[in-house]
Amino acid sequence: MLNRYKPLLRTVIFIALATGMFNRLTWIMLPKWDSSEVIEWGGNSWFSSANVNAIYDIPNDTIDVVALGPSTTMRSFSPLELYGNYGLSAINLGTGNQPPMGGYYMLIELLKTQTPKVVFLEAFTLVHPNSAESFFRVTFDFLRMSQGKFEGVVEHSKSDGADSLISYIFPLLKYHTTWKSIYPELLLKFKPEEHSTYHYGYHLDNHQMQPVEFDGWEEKTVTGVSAYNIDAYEYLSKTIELCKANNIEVILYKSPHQGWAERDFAAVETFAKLYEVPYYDFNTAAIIESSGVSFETDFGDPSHLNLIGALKVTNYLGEVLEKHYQLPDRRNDAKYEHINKGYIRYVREKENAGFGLTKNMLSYLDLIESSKDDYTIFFSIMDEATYSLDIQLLTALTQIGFETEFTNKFGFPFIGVISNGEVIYEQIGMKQDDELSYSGKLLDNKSFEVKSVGIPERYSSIIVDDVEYAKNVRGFNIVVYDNKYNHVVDSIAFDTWIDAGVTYVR
Amino acid sequence: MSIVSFAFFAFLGVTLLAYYITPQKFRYVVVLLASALFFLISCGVIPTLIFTGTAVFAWLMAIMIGKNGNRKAILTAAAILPMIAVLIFFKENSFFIDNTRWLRDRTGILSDLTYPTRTIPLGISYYTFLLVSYVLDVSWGKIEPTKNPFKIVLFAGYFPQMTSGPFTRFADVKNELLGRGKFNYENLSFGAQRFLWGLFKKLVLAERLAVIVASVYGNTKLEGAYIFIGAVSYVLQLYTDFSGCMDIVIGASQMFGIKLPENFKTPFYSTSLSEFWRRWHITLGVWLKDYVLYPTLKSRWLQSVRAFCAKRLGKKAGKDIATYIGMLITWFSIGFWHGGSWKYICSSGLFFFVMIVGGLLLEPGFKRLIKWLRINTGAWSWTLFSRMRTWILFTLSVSFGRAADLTDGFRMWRRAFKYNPWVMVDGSLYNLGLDAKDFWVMIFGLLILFIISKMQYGTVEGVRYKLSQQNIIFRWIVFLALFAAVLIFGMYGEHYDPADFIYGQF
Repeated sequence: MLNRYKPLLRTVIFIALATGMFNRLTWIMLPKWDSSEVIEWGGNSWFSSANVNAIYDIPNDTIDVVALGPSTTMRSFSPLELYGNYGLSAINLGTGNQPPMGGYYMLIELLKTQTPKVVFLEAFTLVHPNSAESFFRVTFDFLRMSQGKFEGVVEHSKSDGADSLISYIFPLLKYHTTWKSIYPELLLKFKPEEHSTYHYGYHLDNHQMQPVEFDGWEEKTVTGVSAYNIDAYEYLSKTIELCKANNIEVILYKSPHQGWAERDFAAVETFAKLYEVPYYDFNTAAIIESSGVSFETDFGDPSHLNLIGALKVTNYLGEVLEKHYQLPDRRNDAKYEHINKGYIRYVREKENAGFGLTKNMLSYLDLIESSKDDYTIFFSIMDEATYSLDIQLLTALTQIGFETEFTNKFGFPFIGVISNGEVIYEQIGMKQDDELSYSGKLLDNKSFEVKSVGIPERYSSIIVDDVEYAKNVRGFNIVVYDNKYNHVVDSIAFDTWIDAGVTYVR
Repeated sequence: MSIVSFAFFAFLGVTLLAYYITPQKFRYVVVLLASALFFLISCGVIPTLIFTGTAVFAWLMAIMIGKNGNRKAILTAAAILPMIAVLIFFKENSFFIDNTRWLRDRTGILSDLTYPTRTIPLGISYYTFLLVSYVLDVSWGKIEPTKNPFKIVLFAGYFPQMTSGPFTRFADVKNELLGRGKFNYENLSFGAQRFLWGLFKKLVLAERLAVIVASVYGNTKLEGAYIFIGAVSYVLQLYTDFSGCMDIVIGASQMFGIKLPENFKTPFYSTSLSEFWRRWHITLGVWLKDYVLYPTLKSRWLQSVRAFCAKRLGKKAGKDIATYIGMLITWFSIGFWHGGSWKYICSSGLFFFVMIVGGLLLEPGFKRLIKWLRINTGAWSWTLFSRMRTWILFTLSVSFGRAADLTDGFRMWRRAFKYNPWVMVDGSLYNLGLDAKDFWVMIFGLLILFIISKMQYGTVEGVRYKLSQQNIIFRWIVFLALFAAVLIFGMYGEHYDPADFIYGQF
């Protein structure tokens, strides 16, 4: 009897093994949209896949507020800020250039395990769609197969044909060529992004672009209306209807954006009125004024906010939620402990971001002085760094603990290391062409090596865990390492030969 | 529908399932319906009707031939000539059009002919030969005409062999193709393995070789070693492409329990061109021998020529001359079948005729030379030399088939005599369209192919049988590795457009 079914049993086991291997290969080959290796697929390093994975990683029924939209959402809406200041449980499900269709199906998937009360929709794509295939991919590839996903990919593939549909169902058929960029560690990794709940989808940015003068428009001066994208219109409408059907309040918002025109605002406002949902546009004079958003300091790039801007937008929206929606405070609820853990890390990363947002040496040294605990900070002079050191900078260097005399040391090399507030090493060369070197172990046992070579060789190196971080340009090359979370926070070089640490390279 | 497309895999899977769940008596109907659908999807309604009409015509004529013994010859001619005319009209018309144009350009007395724009019925040169062989076998009394026209339609239109054959005989396949297919686990398993091995040859090897071939043949500035690399690559491409196709076709058929004849028998181990053609495209060679060479040799006019020559030049010379004329017609037919142009007639036909007949004529001289030089023809070095000679002659011949025309082929070989062997080792080969990683995948794949061929050579059971004698864990590792290799390294999907099978165009 058993012999009769042996071939069948063998076939079933073999097919199961082959299927398992196929799935594993699919995961390995699938672009993770989180590193430069996937740039060829139009990807970016915005951890979009992590935001999609978060749908499955958050404990059931613990989300009250959701934000959907493109990268502008990821950079403007900080769920953990809402938690810290208002006790709200929120998640940011933005993905790079998220098509509203993608957002719609992500929400369907989320509603299987969560019962949110409010959904924020970032309005950018309603009038500025980007139909590049990669942006659909980043949303759909990481959604688990379900009726919703299947409907979505069928709908999306209508214009691209059967091959496109098949490649959504079996992504390996599309991505198998990525074998050339597979690295050994990936074969042993079992999740695409280890921190799918890292900052709950908010993408913290500590850059600051050149200031732009803009105070927003008055609503009454708006003339003309941008055309809607038909697909975006359809799926934003469907998303609103889906929310209404599930008793979820919808709020449209538009983050500050240097490419957002008055006619765009008018188009979204008309849409919002039609669907009777509130709309907050942070490019209007009234909201810019009340939120405190500044086009001079709050942008990492023309389209995206840095941390400063994101905090302003988030807190403004927090006020709105507090004022108009009675959402529970989850801060002392044990069920939401996972958010609290993330919040502690978030607070630390905000502190870390301060280094990245500081652009002159004096402020930088002040920041080091005020928050040097739990950091290891490396200094290395390249070429010449003493000519323009003024009394304030010399004093600041002394205040953070250095005893070195920097005057009359033109072109001399220098190395300094501060760990947890203590200067553990400092050495200035005896003459210009001295070669200084210092190596050791960080608190987490990772190795580091600092080098400084003065005139005429001119060289600076700060290697942490076998990675070179020094900018290796003239002046003080500084690298800041977070001892709490064990990663490099910032790398900058101030040119104190040309001026008093105003010119910098980051 | 390409047999290396996902659509075909799905089509094959569904057909197999339908085949085995259908009562045995009607299983051939499932294959018939699948073949009709395959034909319709692949080339549309009109070509399908042309095929069906041809098959029904052959069936009808065979019945008439069977019933009219005294008018057999006329009816046979009336059956075959229209089918050959249709084949030439659709497939080989370029020969007449090109030569007419050539004559017109020189004489001005002929009017211009234009190429017909009709869709060529799928596999027309294959199914026409099958139907001709059926009619001739009936006419010669080898088989009885079948009363069921559907069986003839299925015999000629059996879907796996529509791409590139192999050529089958009605008598050989009627029991399995038209009989009551029984489920056999070994057939299913062996068939799947063969199918997978075919995919490996086509998608991993042939497609990569095609890139190099296209680069060399498409760039008239390449010279020296590049030409040899291009020519050798083309031979390897031709082999992996065609034998890969055969593996897929024979493997797919075996899954249905239908045994198709082999078309290859480790051809590159041949020590002479005659042997080579007994190992390469075997079914075409046998078909032409049975239906062109032998009938020609037995024909009244050639017997007259033989008698005429025997009277004047001696009995042996008369026999040889008649044989050579028969061979000339056969080799011309092989060249003409490959494509209606002189480059194929010369490179795939007449070249081999000259070499083989030349070899026969010079054989006594060669034998004397070997004896005089005291060459041990039993030594492995002589075997190696003979194989390499065969390789070189075959490579030289088919290289003209890949060139745009004969002149282009000669020009290419003129460029070969430039001394630049360093391109083999200085990384220049990576500029032929494959980067280093793809290039080494190809080399490694060819090495595996060589090892398998070595294992296959001279055995009756074949590699699959040898493998089946191994432990299950080893076998499954081999199969899963092969599956993974095809999935990952196969050149298919969005970034690739697998070229049509080379023999599909013949």
